[in-house]
Amino acid sequence: MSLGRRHLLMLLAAAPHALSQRRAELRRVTAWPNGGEPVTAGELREQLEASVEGTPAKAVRIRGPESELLLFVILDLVGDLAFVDPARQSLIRELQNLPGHVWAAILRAQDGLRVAVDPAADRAPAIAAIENTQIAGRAGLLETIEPAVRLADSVLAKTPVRLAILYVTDSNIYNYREDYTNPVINPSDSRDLSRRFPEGLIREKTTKLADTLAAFDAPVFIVHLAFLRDRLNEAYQNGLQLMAESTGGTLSMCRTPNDVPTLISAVFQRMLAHWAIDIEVPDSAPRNFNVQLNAPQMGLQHRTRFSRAR
Amino acid sequence: MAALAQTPAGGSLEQAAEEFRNLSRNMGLRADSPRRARTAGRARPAYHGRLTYNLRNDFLDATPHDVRQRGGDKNILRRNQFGFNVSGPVWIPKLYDGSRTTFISVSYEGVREKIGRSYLRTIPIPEQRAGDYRRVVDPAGNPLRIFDPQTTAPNPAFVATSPVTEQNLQFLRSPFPNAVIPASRQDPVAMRSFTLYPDPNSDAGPFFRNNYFVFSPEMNTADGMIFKLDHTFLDKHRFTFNYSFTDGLSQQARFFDNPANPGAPDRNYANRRASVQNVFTISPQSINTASFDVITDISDNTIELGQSPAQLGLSGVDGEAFPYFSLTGGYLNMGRPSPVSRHARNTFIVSDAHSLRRGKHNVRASASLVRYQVNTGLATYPSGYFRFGPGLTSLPGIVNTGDSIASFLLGLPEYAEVSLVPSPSYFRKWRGNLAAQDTWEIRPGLNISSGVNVEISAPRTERYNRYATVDLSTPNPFNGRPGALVFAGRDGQGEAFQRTQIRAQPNWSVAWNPRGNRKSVARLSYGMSFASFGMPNGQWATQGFNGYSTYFSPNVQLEAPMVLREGVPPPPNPVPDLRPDAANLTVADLVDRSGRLPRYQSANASYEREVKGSFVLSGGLGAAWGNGLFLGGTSVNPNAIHPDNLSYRDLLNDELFRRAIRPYPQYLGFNLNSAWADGQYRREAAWLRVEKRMSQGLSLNAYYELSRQYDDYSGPGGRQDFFNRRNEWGFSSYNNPQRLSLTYMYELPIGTNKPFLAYEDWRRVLVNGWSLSGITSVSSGEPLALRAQFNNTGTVVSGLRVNVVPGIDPHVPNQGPELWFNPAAFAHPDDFTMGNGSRTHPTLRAPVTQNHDLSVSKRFAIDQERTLEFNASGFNFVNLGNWNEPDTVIGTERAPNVNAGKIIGSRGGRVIQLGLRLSF
Repeated sequence: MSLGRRHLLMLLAAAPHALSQRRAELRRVTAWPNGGEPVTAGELREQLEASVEGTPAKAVRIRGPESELLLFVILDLVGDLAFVDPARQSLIRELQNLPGHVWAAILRAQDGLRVAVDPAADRAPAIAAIENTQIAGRAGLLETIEPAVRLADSVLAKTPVRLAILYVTDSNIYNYREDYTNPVINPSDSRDLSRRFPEGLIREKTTKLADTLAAFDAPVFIVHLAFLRDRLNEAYQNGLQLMAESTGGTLSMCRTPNDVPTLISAVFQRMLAHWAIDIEVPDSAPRNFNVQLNAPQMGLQHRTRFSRAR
Repeated sequence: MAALAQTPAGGSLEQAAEEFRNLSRNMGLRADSPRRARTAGRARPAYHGRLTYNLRNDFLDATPHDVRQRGGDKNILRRNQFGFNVSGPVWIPKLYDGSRTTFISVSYEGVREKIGRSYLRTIPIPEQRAGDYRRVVDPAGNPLRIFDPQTTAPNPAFVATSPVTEQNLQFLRSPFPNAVIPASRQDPVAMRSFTLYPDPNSDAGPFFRNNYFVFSPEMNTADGMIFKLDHTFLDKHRFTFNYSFTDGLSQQARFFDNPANPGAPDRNYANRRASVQNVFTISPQSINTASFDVITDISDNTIELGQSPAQLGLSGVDGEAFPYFSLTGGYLNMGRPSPVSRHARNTFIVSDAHSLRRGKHNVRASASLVRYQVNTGLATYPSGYFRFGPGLTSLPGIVNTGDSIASFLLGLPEYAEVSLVPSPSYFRKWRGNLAAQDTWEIRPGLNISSGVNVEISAPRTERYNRYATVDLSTPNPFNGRPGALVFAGRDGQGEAFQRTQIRAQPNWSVAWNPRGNRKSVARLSYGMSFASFGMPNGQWATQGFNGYSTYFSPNVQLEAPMVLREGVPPPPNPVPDLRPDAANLTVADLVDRSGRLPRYQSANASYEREVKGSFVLSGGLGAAWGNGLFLGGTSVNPNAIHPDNLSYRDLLNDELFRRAIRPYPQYLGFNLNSAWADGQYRREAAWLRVEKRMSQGLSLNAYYELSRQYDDYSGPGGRQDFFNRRNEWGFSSYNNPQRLSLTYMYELPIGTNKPFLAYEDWRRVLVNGWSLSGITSVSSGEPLALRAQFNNTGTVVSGLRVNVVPGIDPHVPNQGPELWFNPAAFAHPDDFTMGNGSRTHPTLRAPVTQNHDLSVSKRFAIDQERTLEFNASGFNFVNLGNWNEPDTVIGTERAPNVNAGKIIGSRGGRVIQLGLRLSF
């Protein structure tokens, strides 16, 4: 679901800091240690060198794994209980084990993005919401990912917490309400070649979304519960990966129900372990720009590509 | 893309949670959002969709290889395909707000197409058509000898204990003087019909063969729509309604433009589909899905009427279409079977599935009931079928003499049939399924799934009991032998001829992560399934209610069953004819009452492993096998004559004698409608797959398979010996032992958010949004099935094989189109013997085939919502020609097939399609 102009105005109104005074643009770079010695935020600040398109940039704030983290857990569960139920159990286990400085909000992706539980220190409502999740018949990830990221970025505009979005989905491209599969309409048309490359619609949709998401800072992590091998779903899953990576997040694919607990646990570890490095983007930076971070003693794996809003 | 907060940290989670509440409320994402926020966007509901247009034109395509080789040029191709899709919430100002609950999608597609077809056929040369055979030659280029059937006389010097040869003829017959059939002997019906035959226009050869080349357009018109309505209510129910329809007209290519055209009839299609589904989430661990589907498919044949039998002077037959004249020996026929037909298939499906999670078990139970209706009207030969062979103008018992055109000119068919179909048939059938599947997580890393599907398959019935079959145990009043017609609902017969079958179809599978490593998965699976009774179009098994007057020759070399100029004799009994012997002396419809259904089984083992670089490698072994497969045609014949009887030699040309030694002598044969459960197959395969998930814009999937498949029925000739199936066991005629396929998608690394050419200025319009997709497939060839050119077995054997010549290697060095295999390694079997070669050759294979398709797309972002995509797709874009199969027909020593072992030409050619899509 895309937001209309009216939504955008509301968001802008909700971000008075951004409008009231002209400040240097800050962008958040999601990063992970990549070898080297563990360091504190202060130590990292001392050794960090940041640049935007080769121009040195200032890291104005660095927040590490010990700092506050807000998680958006978005459930997009539509199908097979053999995958869904292990996912629910794993999510509950992970929520129970979250440290106190991590709060989680629970949202649903069916029929538009909807908040099920607000973020809070108390895990019980979130766990109850997950236990009672309705399994709806239609997927919603493609329609809700943009508003979810907009909401997350709006929160980031107001508060300095770390933030990550986790989609847990078993969607496949055939159970969207909107039609991305270009089904055969005229079976008597035996010489139709237009469906020989059927993934065009999906690729167009996911590429467009990835381009849009590149203008946001909140990383999106997707755990897909049901790996499918047909051509259209391969294109869909590749598209999910493209979208996640465009925000600095990842896609994890479960190839059997056995994978579900492992991958959900791994993605929680990754979200908890991420560093949020806010850098000042020089005015000279182009609309689409590369960010380079260098911490000699630590080594960093981080999101590199960003774009500004059109 | 709000700017990041520049406030210091501290107590931030509470602040973030508060912001989350406020923002999500303002965005209308919460139940307590103000109405204004929840209805934001109402002024412009979020409708999405696309407009599409695809174009194909012969201007863009390469000349097909087969056309170019014949010196031809591309024929016309015009194809326009257009459509739209719109989807979004249902919202009617002040009346209905379904922005979160009701969603609609409408798609339309239309096609207007004109596409050229080319055919190379053999037609009689003008002199031949006038009865002058002085220039007519056989396939080896020798003068073709035709004989006058009126001069037939028994040979007093015939030695019955010796084979029939030119030196020991059973019947004497004189050639036509000067090889010319006198005009006075020529049949007026044949002569009138020949006025509708075209003249030769090609000399492709060899000799006078392949002398008629046709370019003819096919026209295709289709319009269809799909409506989908999706509605959620009470939060636990999701209701979906789908409806689609399509209407199409497929106008077939014409071999010549008059009512005698032997091309397929034009066909109208109409399809309607509707379905409703309700998904009910009873609890988080329990979901129920109920659905109801109705599908209607209607198709009917239409042809240009005129030149009816009456207009041709052919009396005794009432049809309005041109008769069907079948001219054996490779000549283009005149007229066609089934000129007019109408089939309406209705399918009703009710199903319910329930999923339940209990502990480590996930249980799914489902039930479905399918009701089929086929309302079908098909008169195969309403204006008559007349088959002309060389026998009546041959030297009896001597192959490669006589000509079907000469027999036609004399008006002497070897077989004739007229369909008498007073009313359509209304067939019914149902099928039910009860299935349960349990997926059990035994321990982390080990899952077992097992299930059973019980299928209840009811046989076909006819609404008015106008249904009949030969029963192979009922005595026939004609001769007292087993095999007589029985009728549904009469004489103690039920309304069906088969019993309702109940079959349990088990399956199980295991998924295991060895040593708990989730990057590796080993899988094992086994499954068994049964096919259900068929429900074909057409009025098969309605004999007695519908008539098939057949006129056969007691000996196709000696006597014609009728003469065209004298008209078709009246049927002996009018329809309906419900006597037990009403189907005698016909090719009778026979329903398989054995209770067998095709059973398929498969077992597979695979191992897949995720490796670095976004790769997944998989490999596996699989076996599949089946028995009781439905067969028909030349693959099975319950009325076959045992090959031991080939020792009767020329006596077998006498239909009366031949009939006497059949198991069911009262029938000429049986029409099994490809529903006789008698086939077996086995397949073994090993495969490897490499998948690369998308990274650096590239994703690909490569699959290689090595397989062997055997069966006892496939191939152009079917079975040679119906009594020794073991001897029929061989490679499946359609088995490609090696297959490689590669699919890939590549987002070019240029443009915005890409490593190269990330321009900010106007150039970004040119460099952004390029992508490639491709599909490549390579297959080794199918096994060759070598066939004998002449079949002088008195029709005891239908799929006559060749003999293998000992000591001669069938393979040739430098295999190429000039010589693909050595024909000297094979010999034509002697008269009245079977070939000793295998049904399909164990080592000789057709050439490798390959195909490469590529699609290039360029996306233009108009704004955040709208995109224009241009697409160019090349099918066989490298314009590769795949060789045709070699000529596998082996001639006799006296009349060798000069093309045996050679490949004549290649096929294929580049096709380009251009497309535009505006997405919004």
